[in-house]
Amino acid sequence: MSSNSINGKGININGNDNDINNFNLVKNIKDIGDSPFKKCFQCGTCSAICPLSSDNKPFPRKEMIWSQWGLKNELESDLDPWLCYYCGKCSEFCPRKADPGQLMMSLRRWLTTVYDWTGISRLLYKSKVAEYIALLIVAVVVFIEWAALFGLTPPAGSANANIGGNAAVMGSAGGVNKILTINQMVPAYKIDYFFDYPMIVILSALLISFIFNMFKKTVLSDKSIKIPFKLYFTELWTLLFNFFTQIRFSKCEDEETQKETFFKKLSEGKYNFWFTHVFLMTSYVALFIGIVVFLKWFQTDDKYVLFHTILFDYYASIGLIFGTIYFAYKRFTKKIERSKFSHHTDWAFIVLLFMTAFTGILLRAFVVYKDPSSWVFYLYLIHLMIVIPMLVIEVPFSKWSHLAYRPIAIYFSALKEKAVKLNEAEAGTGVADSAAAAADDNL
Amino acid sequence: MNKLNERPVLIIGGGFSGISAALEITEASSKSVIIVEKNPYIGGRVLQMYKYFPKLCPSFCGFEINLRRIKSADEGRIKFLVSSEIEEVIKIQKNSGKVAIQNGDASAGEKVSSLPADASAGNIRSADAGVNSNNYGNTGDGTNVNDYVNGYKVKIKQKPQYINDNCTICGECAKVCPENRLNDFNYNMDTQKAIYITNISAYPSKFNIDAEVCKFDSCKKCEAACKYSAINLNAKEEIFNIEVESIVVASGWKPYDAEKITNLGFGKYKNVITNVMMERLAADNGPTGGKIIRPSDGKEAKNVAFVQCAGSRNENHLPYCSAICCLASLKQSIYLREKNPESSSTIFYIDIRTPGRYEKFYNRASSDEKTKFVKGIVANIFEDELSGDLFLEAEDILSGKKIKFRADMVVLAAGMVPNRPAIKTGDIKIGYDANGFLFNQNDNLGIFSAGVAKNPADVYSSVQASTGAALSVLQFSANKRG
Repeated sequence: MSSNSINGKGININGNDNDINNFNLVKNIKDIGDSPFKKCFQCGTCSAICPLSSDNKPFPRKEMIWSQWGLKNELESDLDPWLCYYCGKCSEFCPRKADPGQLMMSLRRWLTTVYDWTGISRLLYKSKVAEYIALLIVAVVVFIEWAALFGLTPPAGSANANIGGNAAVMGSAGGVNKILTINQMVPAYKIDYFFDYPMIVILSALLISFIFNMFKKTVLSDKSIKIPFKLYFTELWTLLFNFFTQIRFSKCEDEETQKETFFKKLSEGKYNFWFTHVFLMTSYVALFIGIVVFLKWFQTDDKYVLFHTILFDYYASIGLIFGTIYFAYKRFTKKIERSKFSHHTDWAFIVLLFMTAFTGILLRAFVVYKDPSSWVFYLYLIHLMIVIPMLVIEVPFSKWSHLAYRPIAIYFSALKEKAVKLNEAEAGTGVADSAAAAADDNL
Repeated sequence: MNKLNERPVLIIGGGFSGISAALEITEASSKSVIIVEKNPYIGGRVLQMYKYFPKLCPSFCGFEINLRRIKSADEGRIKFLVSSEIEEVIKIQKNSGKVAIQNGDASAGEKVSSLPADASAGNIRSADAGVNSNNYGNTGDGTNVNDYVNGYKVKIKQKPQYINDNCTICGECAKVCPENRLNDFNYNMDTQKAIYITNISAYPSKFNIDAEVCKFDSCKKCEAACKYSAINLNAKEEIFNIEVESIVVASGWKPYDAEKITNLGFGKYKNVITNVMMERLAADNGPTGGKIIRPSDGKEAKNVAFVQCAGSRNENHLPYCSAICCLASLKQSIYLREKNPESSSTIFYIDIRTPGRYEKFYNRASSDEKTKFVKGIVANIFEDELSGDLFLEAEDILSGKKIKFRADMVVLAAGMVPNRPAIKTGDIKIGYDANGFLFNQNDNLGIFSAGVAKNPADVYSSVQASTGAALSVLQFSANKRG
């Protein structure tokens, strides 16, 4: 850059990816979550007050300046936005009201678009309309597929025998009763083969390729660190542990000055957000596995289902309904920092998840209480037209993806940290140690 | 003496700025001034300082030069009303040209003569209400609304003056006084008797009584002890109504309430003090006799951390830069190191702001080997309960690492907040800016500002602003006549 200025060419503003400073970056970040990060004057309050950032490589001050300066390479290889859980202390104490917490949120969206090589997520994050159209397109595909497979009206009771042997057996029990069961109209195996399995294959392929992209940009690109192969396996537990516990949420409540016990904080409700988040996430995962792998358990005509199904079903239903209402409430009241600013994708995720749970529960209720079969038929169609677009759009391209990226980023950064420590131990007293000693002087 | 000039200039605040403006006005013209000061002494914040930067000379030195100038001024041209506050300012109704001026002349002459010859004298009589009935609008012509401002009627309230000029500051009264008060001159770091002298440079040079602590009639020990009959515990509050031509606002500043910066622990931890308290700790006439010791246990403070921008440049507190805190901390760091060669100082900063020639002062402070600078604002301070030591958390931005620094004592560089005297101004719109400063927006009203009332500034710039305000007063007066 400086050479450009000397040559009289001025600053390079063409915004090529090859440039050190990418001048479009500021605009790109602002497109997917406007925040006043350009007000930052680099005092370091945010990093110092952050209860989650590490002592050796604290955030979010460095992300603030990288964003201001358009340092795309630094940001692309940065895992720290995923390590931020938006406790909001940085925004609360920022002397410039530059809202570092909000920038970290925007950067998580931006990183999602960076890992996504298709460019779809960028489009969806940028434009509300694009997101709605995308959801609509998938819904229409589901509708057409349904129409082709099952038609647009519930099969008549008299046509029972024609549908298949299985249905005939079931139907014959009633005889006069022309009400069809859900499996007579819409067999579970057909849902599996024509909806669930294709969807899961596409989604997995996309998500895995994005995660590999993330791995390339954040771990492989860092030439200074060589990660021993063994570490990938020994550190795998951090991935699973963090996925299920989301323990980093609890660190948001860590305060050096107040030595409160875990139970004190629990009783004060400081962990409510964390627990609700875990509840919602586990409900979601439980149901996702349930409907993809064990659809037959759920799509049953039996009024009295088995105990494990009840547990699964009820836990997930309560979790989804309670969780989505809780987070929607937080986003409406805007009382805590992490719920102050809502992007349209945040709302889309909450609303779709709620509607999925709601229509699912309604469907189950209709099945159990043997209401008119035509209602079940249409309700099932509506349910699928919500759940499948939600999964197809949200899982790889939008808000849902943090379910994968967060624990994986913790895993990757644990890998890097361990590798650095191993290297240091091998190198013995090196340059790094003298720097660390200098830092220790201050302690 | 030109009669036209006889309506005096009101100066709100008797600190260094107000005194400087008074001197410049009276030395450059035949005008007289009235200084209204809310404290019982003049000199303001400067007297509470230990040393000036950048020369590190004692602060009362410069003040005493000005005091000498005041004393050598023409008799009665600079008048003081100490322990006084302005209650109300009313615009004198405008008149059409000549009549008003003639009218004004006559009454102004009378008015001035009714003013106290010396505020500190015991023989002040209140301007009686009758004088006020003087009617400026007697021509009945209320036109020419766009004409100049014709002056102001000002109502001043002076607290009861229990002690008259007979006082020789012998101190016998304080010896018998049974009551104690917090010494606000030392920022409440110690106590003094209810009958007290504020500081060694106090002018008017006499004792005061704290009416909130004194038991008056049920005690009266001081009255008995006083050999000079200087004490009158029955003194009453007095109201003065005067008319002035123009006003210089030099109402000064107060330190930002550091307790509001919750993350820095001031008020919670004893060893976190503010920069103004540090000045008193270091001052020979301060609560510790000039020893820089920790409030918690009286141990000498050796490892001192200075936290810059405590409240300043912070949109949650004061959005502006207070302009002097960097230099004040550098000064304090230098005298800390001079007083105790074993001490060390660490300054946490966002930017060190030492403009112009002050850069040399920064070089002087930073050339010391036991003075460290850390770029990074302190986000959190907490206490080690056993030792009373403090831990400061910051990001060292130059290394990009978080540090936890242990210090004996922490000095917060609290910013300056402009004083804004509660004056009823009626329809006069005084243009304060968003932060409460009076920055050159009231020239056509004949209201000028100087010192920190105008903008955050050091003493040197405050005096320059006072000179500027004095010139504006004279120009305003001249334009009016012309």
